[in-house]
Amino acid sequence: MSTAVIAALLSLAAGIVSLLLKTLAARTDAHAQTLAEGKAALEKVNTALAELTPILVKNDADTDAALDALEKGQK
Amino acid sequence: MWPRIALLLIPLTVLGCLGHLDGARQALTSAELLQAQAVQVIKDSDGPAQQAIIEHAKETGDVAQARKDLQAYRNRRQDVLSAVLEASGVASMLAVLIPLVDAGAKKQPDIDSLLARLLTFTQRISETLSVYVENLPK
Repeated sequence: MSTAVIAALLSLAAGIVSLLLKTLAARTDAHAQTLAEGKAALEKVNTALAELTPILVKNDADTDAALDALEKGQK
Repeated sequence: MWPRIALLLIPLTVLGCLGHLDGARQALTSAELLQAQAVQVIKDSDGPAQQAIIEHAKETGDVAQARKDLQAYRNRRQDVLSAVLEASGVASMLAVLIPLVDAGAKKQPDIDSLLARLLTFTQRISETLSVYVENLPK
């Protein structure tokens, strides 16, 4: 194999590796962004759950009180 | 020649592995959307649902039945919230694990087993949420 062919092959390999590394870097950036979005979504769910709890506790207490009052009114 | 081929194969293999992780990320996002949806449905419907039970008790005068209906309603509501909490726990673990697999510190099978669990809990959210919505007191 002549030196020119080896040089051409090496150049081609270097070009392909460079392209792959660029693609990999772009994908890594995209993955980092996706993970950040995923983390934000997870925090959103946890926040929503934390906000929901006092609402449910209040609804339950109000309903129990209303039924108790209804029952007392019947007696 | 072989070392050069190997040199080309390594990045290709890495890209292939990243392709698998995409599925995990999509599953994670879908599960989080479903959790958020379930929480919102309960938030919007809980007050009116309990109010409907009170109004029905006022009409019929049957407070004992109202308490039974109320307990059944709250059990269905708890089923949804339990499924959301379970899915949230698995989703949190996946969110931590995915970057570790990306970095090569963990292996794909670790994610696959968590994904299977996430799928189970996601299905449970769907099922319990359907039962909850279909049986909302009116």
